[in-house]
Amino acid sequence: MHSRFVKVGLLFLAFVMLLGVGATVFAQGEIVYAMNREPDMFDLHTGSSRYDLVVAANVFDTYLYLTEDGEYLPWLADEVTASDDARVYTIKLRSGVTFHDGTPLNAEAVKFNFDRIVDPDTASRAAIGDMGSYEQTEIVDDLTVRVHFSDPHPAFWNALADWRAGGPHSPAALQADADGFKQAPVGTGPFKFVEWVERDHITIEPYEDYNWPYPRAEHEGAARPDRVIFRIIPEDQSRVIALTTGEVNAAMRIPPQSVGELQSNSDVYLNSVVLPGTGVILVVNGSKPPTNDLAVRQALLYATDPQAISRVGYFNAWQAHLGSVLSAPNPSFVDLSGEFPLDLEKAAQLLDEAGWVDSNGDGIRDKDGNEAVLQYIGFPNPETTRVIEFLQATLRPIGMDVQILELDSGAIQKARQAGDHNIAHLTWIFKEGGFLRTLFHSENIGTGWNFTHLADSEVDGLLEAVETEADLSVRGDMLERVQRRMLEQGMVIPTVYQQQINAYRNEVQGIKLYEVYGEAPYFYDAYVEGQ
Amino acid sequence: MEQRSTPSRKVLRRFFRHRGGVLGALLMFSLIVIAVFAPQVAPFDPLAVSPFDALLPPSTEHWMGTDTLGRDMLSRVIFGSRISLRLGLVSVSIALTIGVIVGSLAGYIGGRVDDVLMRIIDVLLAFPSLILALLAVFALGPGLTNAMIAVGISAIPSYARVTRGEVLSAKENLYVQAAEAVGAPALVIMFRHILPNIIAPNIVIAALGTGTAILAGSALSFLGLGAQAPTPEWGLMLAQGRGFMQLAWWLSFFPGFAIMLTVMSLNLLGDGLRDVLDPRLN
Repeated sequence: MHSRFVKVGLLFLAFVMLLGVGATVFAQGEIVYAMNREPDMFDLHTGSSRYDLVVAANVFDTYLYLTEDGEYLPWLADEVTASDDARVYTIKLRSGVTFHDGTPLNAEAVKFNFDRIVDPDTASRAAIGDMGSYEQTEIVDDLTVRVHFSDPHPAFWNALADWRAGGPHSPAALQADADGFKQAPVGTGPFKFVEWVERDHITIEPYEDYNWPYPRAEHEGAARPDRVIFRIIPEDQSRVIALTTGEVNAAMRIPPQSVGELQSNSDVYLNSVVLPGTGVILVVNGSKPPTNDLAVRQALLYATDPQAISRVGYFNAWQAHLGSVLSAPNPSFVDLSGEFPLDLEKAAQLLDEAGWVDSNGDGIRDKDGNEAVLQYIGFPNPETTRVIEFLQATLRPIGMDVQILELDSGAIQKARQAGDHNIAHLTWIFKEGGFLRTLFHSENIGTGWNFTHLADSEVDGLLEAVETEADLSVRGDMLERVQRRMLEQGMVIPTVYQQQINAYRNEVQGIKLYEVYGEAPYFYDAYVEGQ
Repeated sequence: MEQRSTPSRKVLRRFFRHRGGVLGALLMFSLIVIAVFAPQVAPFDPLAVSPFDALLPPSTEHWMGTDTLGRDMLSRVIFGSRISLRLGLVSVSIALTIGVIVGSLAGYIGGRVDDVLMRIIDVLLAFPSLILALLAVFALGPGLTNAMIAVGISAIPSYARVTRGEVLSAKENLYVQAAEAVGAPALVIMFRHILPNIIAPNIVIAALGTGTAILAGSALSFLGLGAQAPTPEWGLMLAQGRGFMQLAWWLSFFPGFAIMLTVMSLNLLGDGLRDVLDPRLN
């Protein structure tokens, strides 16, 4: 009897030890950060995936640092000045900055970077958008350049604070192996790249010579953590479980439904920021029936309630969108929530007045042979699916319906460009309002990102003017008018702001989400307590 | 010969002695009744959204709880039976029809035709059926109808192979040779003399195959390639619930249970039919 107890006890002990072996044993000062999606590449001149920046923000620094208040602080650049017409920018570099390969950051390197972005061979997808009417970079002295544009380019300020165009890549490394750079970047950031095991993890380690931290840093010298490992865990629940069991000690993109559960877990804490950009919006196709009718588009606005969407789709973890095409953290954001308050009667009345009536008794309104059925095209994402199902249920009582089609990103882009949708899902992160031109100017219908399929001369004119307006307050007014006009024309339906919700185990401290681009974590000041 | 002379009553009696088969048949029968009378049986509208009743656990009012939009899970599972059964029947009909035609042609005509058709079938057979269904959906695009076609296509090889084998052996039978001797046209021989004699194994495969098809259809919907929201399809419901395993287990449990029960009853029924219809057991 006695020996049986001993045996059982030993077995139990072995089991516990096995469990211990199974769990990850962290090395000293190691942060394991769970990501939901794998980056595409780290050649930021070429790539465009937002997930690239999660890692790249720690490998590259930028010339300027943009604060939440819209102020540009010096970083890799000691000073930047622009001519009054915003056509010439003079950048004076900080001295003593070196890339991870030991080569210096000098005027030559800056010129090489800008020239490379606009070079057609680079096939730049996103960075090129920051370069405007770039002409050339003139080398003034070893640490000073003058960047020339043929048209005024006020958005260049923002570009200098963004990793894509404003985060210098090592020219030596790019010249040696440009393709290899995509998988093994060399920048001036606090961490140097170590390895990328596809579909598993990416590792970065501190750059020992680093001594030019970002303006809001809490210490000087090399970064604090011994190592940062980005683990790719796409499944939401798996990421949450990995965090609660201690398999990782930090995780990004906490699904909204898990926020409550994690808040009551004393081992972890949450950090949530509203991201700038469009927020989560539905783009309405203005050229396909029934949404080619302004009355239908406005009726949709009266029938949607961002507050209810926040509750139903996002369990209140993502806040209701009160604007139109810009989110609250964007400069020149306007609160337009009073324009189209939830009012189903008003929506029905608009449809009645425009001649949308149910003539064949199927419960769905029709007009000129077109049924008031909306084709929705979006990503298979649980939150947006819930929102659309909810919208569908809201619209049925007023005689409209929604057909849901969820596709992968390649197919979705083709369908949206072809205008197969009535409403399509769109979300984009950016701080600089001038970026709206890429999304809503009629020149980008068909091949670009404008899925409204509606050429509105007022919006076009404003977006063109914004691009070259050097006076920032005039620019702000123009952006306000764009937001107002697009909502009034029912070109978009705002739902919620995009929210970055991260969760960390208590021992991990000091991870900062970049104020402007909240999705990018800064690990420079981070540390693991008790190690 | 032996099998054809067996009276159907004898087959039935043998079937009723097969406990598993009877259980499967009973379960299937109840499922069909539920599917047919879904609007009468379901306590709520499966699509009626009620945000303030979201994620309610199972209770006397909502036996299987409510989902993230406050829809009654029981009603959704009940209506889901219609979709799953239709998916099973349609895809198996597609597979059976094409498979039997291809198999008969290959077996009866033989030679080049046999070689070409069977090599095509071999190629299809080389792919696991779910992979084949995935390829078909990628070609056709997502959606319930396309999922049915895809699952149907992926099941063709098994029917074609079995039919060919049966036709080859049936061709050697005296009654076929007699029909050939009196100059009956090939089509008449195929449809009147051979087909009725090779249908039994296909029925067994079809019964088992319906379960597989339902499972494959649910898998496609789970991956977002089959039924689209808000369709109350079991696989899709399972997928929608997977983010809530810790928070609301009932979202995935009941659709999963329904899939399991359906596939199990079809397997039991298929096993029963095989034991009864397999001539080697006579």
